[in-house]
Amino acid sequence: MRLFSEAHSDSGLQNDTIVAPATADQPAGVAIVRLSGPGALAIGARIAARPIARLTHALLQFGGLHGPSGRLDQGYAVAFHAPRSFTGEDVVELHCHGSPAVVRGICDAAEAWGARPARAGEFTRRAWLAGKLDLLQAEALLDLVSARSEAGRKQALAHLDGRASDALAALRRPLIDAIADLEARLDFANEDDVDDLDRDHACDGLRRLADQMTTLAATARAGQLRVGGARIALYGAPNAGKSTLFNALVGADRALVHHQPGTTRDVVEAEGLLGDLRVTWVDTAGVRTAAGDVEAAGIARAHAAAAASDVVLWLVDGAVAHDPIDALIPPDGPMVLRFSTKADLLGDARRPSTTISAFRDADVQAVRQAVAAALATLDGCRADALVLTRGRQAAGLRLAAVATARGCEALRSGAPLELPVADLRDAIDAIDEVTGRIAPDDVLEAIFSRFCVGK
Amino acid sequence: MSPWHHPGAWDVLVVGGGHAGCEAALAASRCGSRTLLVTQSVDRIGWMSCNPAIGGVGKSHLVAEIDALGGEMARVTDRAGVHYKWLNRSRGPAVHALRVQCDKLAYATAMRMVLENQPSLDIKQGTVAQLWLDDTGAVRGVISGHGVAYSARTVVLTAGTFLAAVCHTGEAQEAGGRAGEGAANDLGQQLRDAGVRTRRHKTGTCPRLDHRTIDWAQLTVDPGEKDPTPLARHGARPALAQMDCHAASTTPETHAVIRAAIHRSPLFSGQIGGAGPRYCPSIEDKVMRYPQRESHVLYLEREGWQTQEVYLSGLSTSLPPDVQLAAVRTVAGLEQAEIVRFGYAVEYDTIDPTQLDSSLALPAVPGLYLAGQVNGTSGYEEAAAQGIVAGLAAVALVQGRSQPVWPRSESYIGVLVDDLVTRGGDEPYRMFTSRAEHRLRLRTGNADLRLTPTGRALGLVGDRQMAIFEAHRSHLDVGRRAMAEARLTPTEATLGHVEATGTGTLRGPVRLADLLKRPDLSWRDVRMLLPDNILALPERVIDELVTELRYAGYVDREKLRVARAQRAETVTLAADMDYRAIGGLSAEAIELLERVRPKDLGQAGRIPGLTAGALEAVAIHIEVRRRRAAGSLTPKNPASHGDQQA
Repeated sequence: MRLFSEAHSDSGLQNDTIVAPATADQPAGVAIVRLSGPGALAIGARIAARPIARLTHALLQFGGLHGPSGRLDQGYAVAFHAPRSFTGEDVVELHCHGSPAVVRGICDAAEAWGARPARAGEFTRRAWLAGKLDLLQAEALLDLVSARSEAGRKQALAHLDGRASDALAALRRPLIDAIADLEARLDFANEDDVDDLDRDHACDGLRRLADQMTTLAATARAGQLRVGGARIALYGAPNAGKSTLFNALVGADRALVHHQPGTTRDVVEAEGLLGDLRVTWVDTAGVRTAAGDVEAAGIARAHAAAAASDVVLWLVDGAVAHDPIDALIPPDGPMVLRFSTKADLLGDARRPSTTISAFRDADVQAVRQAVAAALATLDGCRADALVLTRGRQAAGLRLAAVATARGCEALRSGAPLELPVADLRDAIDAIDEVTGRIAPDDVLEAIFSRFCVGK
Repeated sequence: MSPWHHPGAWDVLVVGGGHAGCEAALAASRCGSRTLLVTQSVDRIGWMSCNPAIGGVGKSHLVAEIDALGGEMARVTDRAGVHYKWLNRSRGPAVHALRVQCDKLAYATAMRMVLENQPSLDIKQGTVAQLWLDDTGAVRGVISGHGVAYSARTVVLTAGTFLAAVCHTGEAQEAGGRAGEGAANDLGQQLRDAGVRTRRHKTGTCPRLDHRTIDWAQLTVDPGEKDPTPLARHGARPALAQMDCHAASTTPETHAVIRAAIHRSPLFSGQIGGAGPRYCPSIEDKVMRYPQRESHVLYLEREGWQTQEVYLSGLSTSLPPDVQLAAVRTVAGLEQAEIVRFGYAVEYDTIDPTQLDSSLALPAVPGLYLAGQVNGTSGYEEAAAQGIVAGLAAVALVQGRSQPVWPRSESYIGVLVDDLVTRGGDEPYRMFTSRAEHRLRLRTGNADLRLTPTGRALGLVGDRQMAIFEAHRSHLDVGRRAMAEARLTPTEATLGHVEATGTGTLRGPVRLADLLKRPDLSWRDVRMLLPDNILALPERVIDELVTELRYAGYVDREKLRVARAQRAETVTLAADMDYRAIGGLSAEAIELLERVRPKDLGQAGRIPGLTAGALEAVAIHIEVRRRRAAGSLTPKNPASHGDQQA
C-alpha cells in the first residue's frame, strides 16, 4: 500500500511549522508570507517584534518585519489563533512589500527560527486534515485559485460553498434509506411490524437514483469546459487562411502569415475569453497528403491538436474550387464547424452564406458566436446548474450509478436481499471516495500535489 | 482475615459458569491447560436466565461458528432442543437461521455433565469476592467469599449480570444477578480501583406462567420443523420429544393497564438508570414508544417437559406484580393464568469493552480476560462466542503461543470482538447480520470451512469432528468439479421439468450451473435433471454449491473489499503509541485513539467518529517513522521561495 509519495519523504510530520509565500509573481506591490503550525505564533512574534500576547486574533498590526540580522521591511502582521484559521492551526500572515528580496528575507527568517518550507498544497492539505474542507472543496479551492474566466470562478465558488458536496449527500441519503429497508427485512423479518418488501417499488426508486447519478456524472463535461476552458483548433488544407483567422480571433499578430502554402509548421496557441469561458485558440499546419519530413511532422501535430480539441474550425479556401483533403478527424471527436474563407476575394454573387473573410469584423464576430454556440451545446447545462468539475468525480458517480442499477436489477430478479444490499454498499463507497469520506492515498496525493507551494 | 490458600494451582481460572464461562472452561481444558471453574452456584451452570432458546438471526451464525471451532453450545442444544424453527427461509442463505427452543433444565444438566466429565477441568462453588493481584497489579488468582484463595496464572472473568446487581420487580428491589441468587458487589469496585471504566446496563425478563392455567385452545399453534436437522453440524439428531410453540397477542386493554401503571415501572420512574437493550425492549417500552400499535405478539414457550412453567416471550417487564397479573389476564387464553415467577429487571455493572484488546485481555490487569455479558453484550450466543475467544487467549498466553486472531472478514465471532473493542457502545450489544460488512462470506453453511481448520490447529476440534469435516470438504470439491462440467440439453423431458418450475424455459443447451442460478428456482424441483455424481452428494453439500453459484459475482467483489481492508491491517500501531506527538490530530481524534488503542490502521479506521483526515495523519506519521528507521529518508531540497509549482 503506497501510503504517500516521495514528496513526503523528509520531515513530513504535521507537527512542523510551515512557511511559504501565499502570493505569486513577485515583484508586486504587496506579498503575503504565511506561517502555519504550533510554532507559528512564536515565529510570527519574532518577525513582527511583538510579544506573543499582543498577537491578537484577526488584528492587522503595522510595524517592522525583522530577521535575525535586523529589520527587513515594514508591513502588517496578523495572527489567526487555532482553530479559527484556514488550516485549523495557529496561522500568522505577514503582509510585506512584494519584492523577491523581501519575501526571501522573511521566509529565511522564519526558517532560521524553526519553520520549514511548505510543500505544494500543504496548507490546503492541513485544512483538509483539520476537517475544514472535504475533498470536493479542496479541489474547488484549486479551481478558484486558477480561475481565468467568469465561468470557472462561478463554478469553483459553488463547489467551495459546498453545493457539490450537498448534491452528493442528497444522493447518498436515499441509498442509506434503501439499505436500512432491506436490512430490516433481513435481520428483523420475524418482528411483526416488518412487512414484506415491495420489490418493484424499491427497484423503481433505485432506478431513478441511478439515473440521477448518471445525469450528474455527465455534467463533468460542462464542468471541465467551464473550469478548464475550451480548446478550439483551426484546421484545413494549406493556405486556407487559418493563421489569418487565428490572428483575427486572437486580436494580435501571433501567427506568421504568408501567401505561400505551408507557412505554419508548428502548433501556435493563444488564450482568450469567449463570453464567460476561457478558450485556447490553436493554429495548426495545413494538412495535405504528400509532404516532406518537416511538413509531415507539422501535419501530425495538426491532427493531434484537432483530435484533442473541443471544437474544430475546418477552413476551406473559398477561392479554390476543390478541397484536396478528406476528413481526417475522428467522427466521434470534437465538434466541427466548416467555414469557407477568403470571401473578400470572391465577388458577392458567388458567396455562399458560410463564407467569411477574416478581414471583416462582422465575419470574425460571427465565427466567435458560432463557436460560442457550439460550446454551449457541448456544455449542455444551464449556466447556474451544478456541474462536476473533474473526471475523478464523474468516474466515482458513474461507479455509484452502476452499482445502484445492479442493486435494482438484483431486486427485480428476485435475488436474496443480502445481494442488493452489497450492491448499494458499493454505491455508497463510490460516493464516499468522491467526497473524501473514504480517502485512498493515491487520490489524496493526486489532489494535493496539484496545488502550488504556498496554497 | 487473611484467606486460606487452596493448595492447587491452575493455568486458567474461569469465574462464572454461564454460557461464556462454560465455553471458556471447556476450551481451556481441551487445549491441555489445567482449568478451574469457580461459580456462585454449581446448580446454575449453563442456565438460561431468560428466553429458553438458542439461535436466531445473527445468533445462529455465532452458534454455527462456535460449533465449527469445536465449542459446545450447539451439541448441548441438540440434547435439549424441543422446538426447531428455521427463520428467514424465504430469504437468502446468508441470513438463514435455525432457532431452537430448549428444555431449560435438560440444557443445563447436559452442559454440566460435559463440564463435570471434562479432563483437566475442576469445578468449585463460591462467589468470587475479589481478584488476587500481585504487587505489579497482575493476576495471581481469585479469592472467594468463603475466604479461599485459588491460585492461577490467568483469570477469565465472566460475571454476566452479577456485578453490583440489583433486581427490580416494580418498586421492590433486591440485590442479585438473577432472581433468587446473590450479587458480586466488590469485584466491580476492585476493577474501578485498577482504573477500569464501568457503566450500568439493564436487562429484563418475562413472567413465567403455570401451564395448567392457560386456555391453549385460544392460542395460535406454531409448530416446529417436522424433521429437525441438528444444530451441531456433526451432531446427533435431537434427543428429546418435540413440542409446539404457541402465540398470542396483547390487546388495547393490555396496553391501557400498562399505561395506567407506568409510573410504577422502575424503567420510567427513574429507579433504574442503566441502558437497556434496544432490540429486546420491555413491554413498557413497546407500549409507550409505539402507542399507535393495537397489539404486540407474544410467544408461549414451555420451559421443558418436566416443568409446568411457560415462558411468556414478548412481555419482558419490571412492572409490579399486580400490574403484571392484570396485564397478562387481558390476553385471550390467559384470562385465568397464574404467574409462577414474575418478570423483573436486573441492573448491573459492565465494563467498557474498548479497554480490552482483540483477544479480550484487559491490559490494565495483566493475565485478566473478560467475556460475556459483563462486556456489555446481550444473548447467550454472544456470551459463548466471547468465552471461546477468551479461553483460547488465556491458553495461548500460558503456553507461550501466539494469540489466535479473529479477522472480521472470517467470522461473526471476529465481527463481535472487533465491534466490542473498537466501538464499544452504550447499550447492550446484540449480533445482527447487518453488522458484518462481509456478510456474504460469513454464512452458517460455510462456518466449518472457515473455522474448523483453525479449531483443529488450536486443539479444540476432535478426530471425529475433523473426519466429518474432511469428508464434507472433499464432497464439495467433487461437487464443484461436477458442477463446472454439467450441461443440460433441451429435450422434451428436460424442457417440461424446467418450465414446471415457473422460472422460464430453456432456449438452448445450457450449463447446469446457469440454470441453478435462477433466483426463484430450487434445485430440489429439478433434481431429476441433476447428474448422478451430483445427486449422490449429501443435500447439505448441494445446498452449499448452489449458494456458491448464486453468490459468485458478489463474493468476488467482496474479496476486493476484504483485500483492501487487509492492506490497512498490515500497518500495525504500537500499544503505547504517543498520539499527542502526531501533528494535525484534533483533541477528539487523540481522545478516540487513546481510548481504543487500535492495533492496526484497519481497526483505527473503524473507530466511530475518527475522520479520514485523522487516519491519514496517523498513516503518514507511521510511514515517516518507518522510513527513518530504515534509513531510507533522503533530505529533499525544499522548494525555493517564490517558486510556483503547478
